[in-house]
Amino acid sequence: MKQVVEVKGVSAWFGSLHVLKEVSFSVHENEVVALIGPSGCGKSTLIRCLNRLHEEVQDAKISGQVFLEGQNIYGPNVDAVTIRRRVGMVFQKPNPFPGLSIFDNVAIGLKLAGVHNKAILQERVEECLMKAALWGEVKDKLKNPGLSLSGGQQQRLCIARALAVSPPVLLMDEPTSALDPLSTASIEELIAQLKKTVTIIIVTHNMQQAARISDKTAFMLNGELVEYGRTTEIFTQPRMEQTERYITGRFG
Amino acid sequence: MTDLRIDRTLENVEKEFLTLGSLVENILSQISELIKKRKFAPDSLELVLDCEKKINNQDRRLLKVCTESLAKESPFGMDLRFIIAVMKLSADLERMGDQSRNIAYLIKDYLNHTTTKVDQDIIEMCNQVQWMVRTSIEAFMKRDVLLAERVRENDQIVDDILADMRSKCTDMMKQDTQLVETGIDQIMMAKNFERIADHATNVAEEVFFVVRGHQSFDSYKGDNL
Amino acid sequence: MKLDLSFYDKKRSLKNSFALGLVGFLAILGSFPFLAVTFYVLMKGFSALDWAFITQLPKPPGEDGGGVGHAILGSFLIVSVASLIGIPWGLSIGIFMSEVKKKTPLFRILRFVLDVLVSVPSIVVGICVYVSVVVYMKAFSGFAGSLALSILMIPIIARSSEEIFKLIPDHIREAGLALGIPRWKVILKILLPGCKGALITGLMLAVARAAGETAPLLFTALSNQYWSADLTKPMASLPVQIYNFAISGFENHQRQAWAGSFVLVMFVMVLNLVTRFILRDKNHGSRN
Repeated sequence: MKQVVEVKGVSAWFGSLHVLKEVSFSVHENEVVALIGPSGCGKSTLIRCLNRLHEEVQDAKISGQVFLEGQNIYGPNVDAVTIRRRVGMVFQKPNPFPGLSIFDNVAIGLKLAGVHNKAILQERVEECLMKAALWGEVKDKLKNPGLSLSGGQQQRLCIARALAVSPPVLLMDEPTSALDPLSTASIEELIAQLKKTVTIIIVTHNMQQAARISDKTAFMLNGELVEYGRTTEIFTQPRMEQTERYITGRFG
Repeated sequence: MTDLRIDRTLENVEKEFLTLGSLVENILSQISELIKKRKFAPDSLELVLDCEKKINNQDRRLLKVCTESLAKESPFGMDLRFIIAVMKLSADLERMGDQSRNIAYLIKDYLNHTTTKVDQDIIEMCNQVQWMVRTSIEAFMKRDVLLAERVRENDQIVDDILADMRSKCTDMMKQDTQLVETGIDQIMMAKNFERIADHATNVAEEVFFVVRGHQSFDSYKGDNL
Repeated sequence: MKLDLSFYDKKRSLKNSFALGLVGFLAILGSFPFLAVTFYVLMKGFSALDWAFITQLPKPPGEDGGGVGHAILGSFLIVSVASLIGIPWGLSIGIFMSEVKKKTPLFRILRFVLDVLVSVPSIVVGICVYVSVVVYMKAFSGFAGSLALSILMIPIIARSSEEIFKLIPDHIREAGLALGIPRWKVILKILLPGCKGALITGLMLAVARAAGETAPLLFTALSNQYWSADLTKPMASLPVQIYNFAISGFENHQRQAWAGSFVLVMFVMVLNLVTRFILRDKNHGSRN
């Protein structure tokens, strides 16, 4: 199985605060990898290092290498903007762009990348909304504002938006923590379908969710990667005592 | 780390398991008494059957407690393995109750026969089995892998006694056809004891599963997980 | 033992009613100045308000009739050019102040300058433009007036647009960047259209302020008695014309000063209503 993302010795700082310490692991094609760990362990920072968003924060530093489909995204002369087009991201709070319609929300990534052909845009928007299991619900109201949808629908809209530029990797930062159980369930079903075409790395606070949807799980603590392995093993017989303590809720 | 809800739930499961274990040890000591004292009172069988009914009820109750604990806690890691092991062993302990009942039925007729040289073997087997049951439960409660290993090894001893008894009985029956009924009863009793020992071995093996996440080394080596 | 809080509840209710009453009273009190001004101006100037007032030039002193049509046109031209200068300039500064990552020295200088300029007396701005532009060009001009007004508008627009941009949550920016859109495009094509409504309010308020300024125009655009659309020459404006009429002794002029004031007040009110209309909730909010 092809290695889509390889993280090698990545360390990160916010000013003098050392938030990631020599993290290394790799993700294969069409896998879903879950990142779990207590608040402040660095999991959100880690995924922001995978699409070069970390460096947008003032005084942020990073060292180490991240290989996306074999290319080091932190190499010299590598354009951050181009990299970000290949790594999609979905956020904790659903955030369709305000003032844009449902159609425009999905199309904006393509439009601003230079695609103006109406037929192509129409086709692509429909395709992505279908992949996000939203097409049926919105196909008659594509001109409505993105913000007129419910929370769960908005999140699926954001997923469609991220998929529009065809990234091979999709990062998800606690995508269901702001949603009700039914919406959460539908997004989890969606992830099971999406993994056939995209590789997904998801940060989650919810261990049951991580156990349900991921193939591999990484447990992080204080900026370090403590254990990384098959999800079924991590949750039934982890190797590290810290992992055992966290998953059985005996942490702290 | 103490007084977490999950810990209280697990303690409750342990308590119910121990209750089942005590009932099994109880029924075994009743049988042991009957065999060694060679006295079968009119209500002896009834007492044994009563105990076996209690075992069946406790098995069902234990299963219910485990199912509810899984639903409520969604446990992971060792907690998950422990509850699953308890559910599995509940069946083994219940079967021990069944076997003990079978032995009780056989004792009545057995005691009517004349004593034979195999009688000592039966008493020996009873002692071995009682030790194995008691110790395996102790090993499980304490998560003591070394103790569990000792129980596992002891299974061979029980198997050997059974094999020895079988040949002795066969000889005995060949020599005197009057003793055929006696012989058969003795072999059947021994066989039931040996099954109890097997179940006790299962209890011991689950200790490995809970502590290390896989069965004892023998079975693990075979699997390609 | 349960604590009986009902006593505190009664006391709290009383306090609540009292505070509510006080606040309501003050609110009504606070609206009086505006209502008083509007009605007074309307009363005084209504009689002079007719079609001629808006379309004609002023009559010589002593004669009845005439109007301030040239001043309305002049105001319109001066304020339009001022907006053309001030809006892009102010917006750019506001966006810069909000979106810049590092607090460079330029940032700190701008912050200080803006804070000062926001409350600078408008007459000072007028004099500065007089000294730098009017004297240099040896002529009063409508353009100089526009320049002065734009200098007044810029700090207001910069501050309000900075505040509006700062209100946009960070994860919207991140979402834009995460799509592989360069930062400047995220600002112009995603953030800017997203806060259109709020921005326009800020702009309208700045324009309204500029439209009502008199002092700076006295030294820059001066005044004009005739129709003129030539910004390189002195130009009439409504505030200055009102001033001229108000200090004149003639009754006709005085009435027209009131009428002019009424037109100015109405202009500001209409502008505010228009911004409210633009900002009405078109999006139905979020359904959650």
